[in-house]
Amino acid sequence: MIEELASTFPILTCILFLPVIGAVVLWLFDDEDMVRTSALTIALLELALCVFVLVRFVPESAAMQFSEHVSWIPALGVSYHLAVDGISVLFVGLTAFLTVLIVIYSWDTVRHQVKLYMMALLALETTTMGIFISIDLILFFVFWELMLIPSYFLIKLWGGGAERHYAALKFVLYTLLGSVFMLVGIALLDVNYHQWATLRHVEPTYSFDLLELLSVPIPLSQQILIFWLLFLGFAFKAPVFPFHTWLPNALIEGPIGMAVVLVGLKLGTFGFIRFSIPLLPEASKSQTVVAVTMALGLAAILYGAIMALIQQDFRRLLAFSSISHLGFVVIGLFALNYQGIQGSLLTMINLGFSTAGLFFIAGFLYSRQQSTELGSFGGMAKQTPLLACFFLFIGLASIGLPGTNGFVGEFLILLGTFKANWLYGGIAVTGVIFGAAYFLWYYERSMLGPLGKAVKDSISDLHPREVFIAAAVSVMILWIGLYPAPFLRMMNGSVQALVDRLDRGTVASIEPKQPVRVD
Amino acid sequence: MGDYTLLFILFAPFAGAIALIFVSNRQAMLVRGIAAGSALVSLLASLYLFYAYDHVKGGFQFVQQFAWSRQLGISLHLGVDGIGTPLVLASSILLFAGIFVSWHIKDRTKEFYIWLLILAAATIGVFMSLDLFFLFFFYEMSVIPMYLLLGMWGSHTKTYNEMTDPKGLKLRDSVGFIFNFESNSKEYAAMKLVLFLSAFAVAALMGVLLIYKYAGLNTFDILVLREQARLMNIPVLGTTLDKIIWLLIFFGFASIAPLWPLHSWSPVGHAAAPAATSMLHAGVLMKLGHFSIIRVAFEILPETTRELMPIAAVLCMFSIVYGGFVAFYAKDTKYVIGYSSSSHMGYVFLGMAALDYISLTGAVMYMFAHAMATGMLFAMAGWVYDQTHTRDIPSLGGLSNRMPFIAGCFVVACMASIGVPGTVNFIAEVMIIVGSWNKYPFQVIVAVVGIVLTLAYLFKMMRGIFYGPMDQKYSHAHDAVSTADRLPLLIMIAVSIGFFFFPMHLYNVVRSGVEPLIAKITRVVPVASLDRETTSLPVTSDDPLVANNPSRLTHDAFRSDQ
Amino acid sequence: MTFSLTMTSSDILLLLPEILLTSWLCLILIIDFSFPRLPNEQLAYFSIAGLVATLGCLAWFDITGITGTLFANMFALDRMALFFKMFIVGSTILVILASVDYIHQFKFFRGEYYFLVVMSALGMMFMASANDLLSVFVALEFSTLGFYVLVAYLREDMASNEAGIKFFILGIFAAALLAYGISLVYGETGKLVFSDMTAAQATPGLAIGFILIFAALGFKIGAVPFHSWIPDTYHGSPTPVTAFLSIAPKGAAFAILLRMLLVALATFKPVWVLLIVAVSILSMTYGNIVAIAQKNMKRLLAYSGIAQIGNVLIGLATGTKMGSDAMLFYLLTYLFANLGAFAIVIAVSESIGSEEIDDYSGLGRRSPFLAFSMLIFLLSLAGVPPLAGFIGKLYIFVAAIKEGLYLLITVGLINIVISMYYYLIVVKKMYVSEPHDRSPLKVSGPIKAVVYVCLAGTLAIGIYPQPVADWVVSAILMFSNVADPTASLPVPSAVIPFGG
Repeated sequence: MIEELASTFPILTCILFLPVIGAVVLWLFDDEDMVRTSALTIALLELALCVFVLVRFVPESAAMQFSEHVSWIPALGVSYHLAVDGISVLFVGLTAFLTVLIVIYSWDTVRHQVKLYMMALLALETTTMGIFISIDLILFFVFWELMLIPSYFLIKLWGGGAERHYAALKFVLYTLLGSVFMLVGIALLDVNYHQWATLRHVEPTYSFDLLELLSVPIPLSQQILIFWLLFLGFAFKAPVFPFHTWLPNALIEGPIGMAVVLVGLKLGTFGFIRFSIPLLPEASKSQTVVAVTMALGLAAILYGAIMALIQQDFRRLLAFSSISHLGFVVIGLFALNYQGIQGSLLTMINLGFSTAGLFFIAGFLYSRQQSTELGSFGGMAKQTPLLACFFLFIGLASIGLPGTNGFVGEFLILLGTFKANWLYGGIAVTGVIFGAAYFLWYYERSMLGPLGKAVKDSISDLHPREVFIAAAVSVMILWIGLYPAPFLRMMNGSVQALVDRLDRGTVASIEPKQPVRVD
Repeated sequence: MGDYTLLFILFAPFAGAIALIFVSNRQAMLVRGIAAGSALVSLLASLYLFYAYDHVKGGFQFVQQFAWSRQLGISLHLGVDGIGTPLVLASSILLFAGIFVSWHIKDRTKEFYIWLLILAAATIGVFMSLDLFFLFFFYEMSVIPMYLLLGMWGSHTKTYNEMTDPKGLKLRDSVGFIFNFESNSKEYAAMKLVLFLSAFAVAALMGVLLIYKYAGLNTFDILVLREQARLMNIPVLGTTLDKIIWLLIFFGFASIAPLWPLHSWSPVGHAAAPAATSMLHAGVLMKLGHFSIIRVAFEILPETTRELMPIAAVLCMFSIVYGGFVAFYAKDTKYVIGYSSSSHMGYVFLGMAALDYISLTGAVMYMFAHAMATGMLFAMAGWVYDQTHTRDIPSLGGLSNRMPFIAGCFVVACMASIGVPGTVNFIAEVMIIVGSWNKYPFQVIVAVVGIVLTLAYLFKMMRGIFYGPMDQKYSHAHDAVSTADRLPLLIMIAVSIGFFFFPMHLYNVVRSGVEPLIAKITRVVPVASLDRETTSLPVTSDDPLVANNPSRLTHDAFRSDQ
Repeated sequence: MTFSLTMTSSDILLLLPEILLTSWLCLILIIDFSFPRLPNEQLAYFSIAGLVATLGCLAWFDITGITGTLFANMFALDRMALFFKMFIVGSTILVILASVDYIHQFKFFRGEYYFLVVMSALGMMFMASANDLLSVFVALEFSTLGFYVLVAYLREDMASNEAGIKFFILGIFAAALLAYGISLVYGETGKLVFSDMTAAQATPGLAIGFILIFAALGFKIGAVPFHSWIPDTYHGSPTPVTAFLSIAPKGAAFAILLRMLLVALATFKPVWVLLIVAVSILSMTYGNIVAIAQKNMKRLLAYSGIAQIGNVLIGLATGTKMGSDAMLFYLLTYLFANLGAFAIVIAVSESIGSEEIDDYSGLGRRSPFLAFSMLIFLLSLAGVPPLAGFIGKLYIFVAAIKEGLYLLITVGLINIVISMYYYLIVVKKMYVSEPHDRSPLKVSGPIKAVVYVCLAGTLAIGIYPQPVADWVVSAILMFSNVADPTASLPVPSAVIPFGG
């Protein structure tokens, strides 16, 4: 009976639109606490749905599950096609999880225009969800772009910094700059499909559907071109090393909630693993692409780490550390082998817990000292033991201490990279050491030692709401760290399929087709 | 209504204008009522037209023909195809909205509405004329109302208002008799607009007359001419006649579009014009250019079009980039919007130049979408001007607290103008890109960079007007609260977003108009209409990502394959 | 040659309109003398009554198709003559209506004013049916005689006197040219009647003779380079007279030109086409460019009139049936627009006593009616749809392009744009500029009537020209033979390269 229900119930659509509908509902309330509570309920409801999906998800399978398909602009081959597979399903859960935490965090930290804030937040959740579960490239692009609007206003209206207007505009402009090129890339995929389909009189003659596009061959030269176009889009969003300049501004000027989303949900790299690599296997394997991406990845690791080392502002430090972590993800992806891809996929999830968690910590600090400058801390461990503990724990996770989630991910990545090319691996390892260095050093200076001048005796330790947030993050960290199997099982199928796709390439699909096996 | 739909659409505004002549200006409400009423009739009729248009049958529908002059072979021949229909709809929407936007005009209200109605009706007339003469007739007819609207209800630019003559008196009346214009005055803008448009219009007229002569059919009827006119390779002046005619027609009409080197009249005109006029001007008047080129050059001279259309492909880049940059540095709200729309018209030219089914369809849809977007922007720029009496962005700011509704709508309008998903502009842009890539990849890249440019200057303007510190002298500025003030914006937003979610009818209608054209020009049969018998073999592969995917077979949810 | 002066009743019938008007003329004089104290409005309406009767008579002829010739073809009453006679009488009626109030500016001789106007109208009616050179000369001088006086009617006004002198001297000069030309032509051909000259051989004397005649007629229609009298005369003379001068004589002169060129000189068409083309281009360009610089409404209209005549000459230059149709059509549209504009000039100068364009500032506020009508008339002159002028211009251009007169059309089109400028300057003054004083203007009944008639004409012809077009076409049926058979077919561009 549950089966029946589940098989007919458009659960992804619900997940997609529940938040935005919730946002509209919020509009009706005036009382601020009312707004907060209802926002929380909506977020929790969303989380429940996502958990349901995670539970019902069939692991070890490359299949597109919970698939929903409605034709939208048939003439152009644009369709409303939602589905999750091993690659995207975990992100769905993560998004819902973080949103809940953000709502809780913003409970008393956001004081003006609460309603608007919550609405923007929920709208943001919808768009990010959309990015993760869209199979149709246009649909994906729609959410990709729409995400900018709530982000823009979140940074602009609730940011703390004086430069927030500049930061917001910079963020939007950079992302859009990248994504218009991505749009061209998408268009090219469509054009290519069109030519192939017209050749064989295949209906539909236009299609933006990932699965349709996967089934047509693409000449290598075309692949390279499209790859770089898409690369620009994803790299700006990720952000990959030379395209990262907007990130520090956005993180420091913007509100903590926004920062958590920006660093917690790795949309850019998700784009690589979801579209670039499967659609353009030959291109991804080609010398230049691998070389360039690897180089950028490694550069990101070192550059980010070194920059982080010398930062005085904690949020700025986090910004650069997440750039460095993204470097790991990138090299893992473009190691193009099973471990590498799986590792970076897992790492993306991990960062969602650890780096995001650290941003919450930064938020806690900020709400106590109205600053995240090193100067305003020092020896706080005495005053705020709880804060210090969580700070340390989550921090260690982001370093990748064995027993925490970070270890599993980074280990897999390094493994994969060494398999691909020992040199890359060797360089990457140094990044890990740097990582340890900058975090521990900062921690030592801010938490341990004598009590800082700026620190008042009256400073309070974490209050329950904050404890809950930190605890929730820590639990996840421990879980993945100690028993990652369920998460890995969810990915395996898709990752395997991806790897197969890589060594077969698109050419496979030109061979005469036999009917699809479904056993 | 049935077959008389077009007559309703076309003559309702005229009737309104005539009725207004007999109303006194003192009964302001009655005046507005009549204007709005006649516009409403036209709007409803064109809605009916849009949805009653049978895109399966395609071709010209709702055709009406009345003999008008035997000697000259002219007949009032009305009819719409898939290209005209949406534009007619856009015009009547903008007219209806424009009447509400100019609700608060105090000075000579009656005259204002008379000219506004005539302007809109003339525009609509062009979109439904199937007779070269009447196409030109309505085209010319739309110019003079612009002059009066600009001159009588327009506004000088900031620099001009602050300018004084040697004796320190405010300059008010700057037009002398021999070209001593003050180039910041509305008179200058109006005169420039008219002379510019008339100058190029007569070029187009020359082309029309040449067609008339050499076709030798003693008729101006487009449907006859496109079938029977034999204009190819008649040697004239070292080239062939058809080329000369095509160039006359193209540049004659491209001036109103406005294509890059011919654009200079347009932003000035926008800046001087009252809000409603700018709306119609940027919303539909500009499209007269593209439409007339499609209707005359594409229909009657297909081969020549194929040969010479690359000209447009080259010039459109300049339109896009130049317009974008000027808009970025402009300080006057209406200049920004004006240049933005002249840069966006570049996309339409790109879509036309590619001569591809998708791209031309996209171009026409873009015209429709842009009409809505730019209409909103101008409406709100007008509102801000009415509240603050300045269009100077640096001196504005922080108005979002004073006018939240307007600020909100402004965001939506910017999104639409940029082509952010959620508005029909996005779909149109995608189609233009998809369609044009094969022919003009470089132009496509330029176009997408133009999109970023658009975002840059629109956000810059939005910030300048609505955020940041507010000058206290604007504390009296108030929001659009009454229905009359909100209605136009809401309508345009609704249209713009609605067609994003349900674009199919619009697409089908336009496509039905585009298909015969492109088929004739490129002599390539559209793929969609290939013989359906060819068994479309299931597109699958043993590639797991594809093969194991249940949604390939049936789209029922939750299939697993262990 | 001897005239048989035996006249049958049918001959008298053909002369009926002229006879009617002549007798009415005498009545006007008698009444004026015998009732000195009669308010001249009544005299005005009385003369109008006569003209209306004449008009009715002409219309009756036109409908019943009464035509014929008199005095050994000296006097031809055909459809074209009827058209032009109606044209003349109609304009005369409007002019008299327009001058009912203006008369008060004359110190004395108010009654004679009407007499003179009607007299010159009578003269022009004869011009319209003058079919040989003698009657041309006589009729021409007869009509001009009246104008000599009318132009100088404001005796105190120096400008008026100057205008009178100028007009008189140049007029006499033109008459001399005409006489000389006639004598030459007669000397060469021994013929006076146009229709007899068709077989004439091309000799230098004949050419010179016709060129002289053309010059004299050019003086009448005020085409460049025979225009020099126009600005000052228009400026100086009483406005109603200016209005009259700007319409009726031109129509009459065109009647003669048509007969002469299309009948007498049909064989020399390729030659005189060049002449007409040159004159037309000069007139359009000169008129429009100089008009830009004008500060006085009457002078503006004078120069625009020169340009308009240039447009009409395009039609003549085609030398085809269709071209002539277009000319007549265009003259009609010009009649309404121009008379209407002058009527408004009269109305304005009645109330503010000035004809300077600057004093039209804010007319749109002081008298919406006048301003709106002026707008319509000026736009019609400029050729903006949906007004008569646009159709007229298009008609002419279509006729011309069929003859492949590309140069002429290009110049014409460019001139439309130029003229747009100065017409719009006036529009701008009326609507955009603020008035010097806001006191509303009052418009007298007769003027209103004139304006209404002209408005009706301008709009009606513009919106549905078919009836008028049919009328003019039927009016020139007799020229179907000269219209070269290829007129309706595309002429290969080789035949007449650019500029004919």
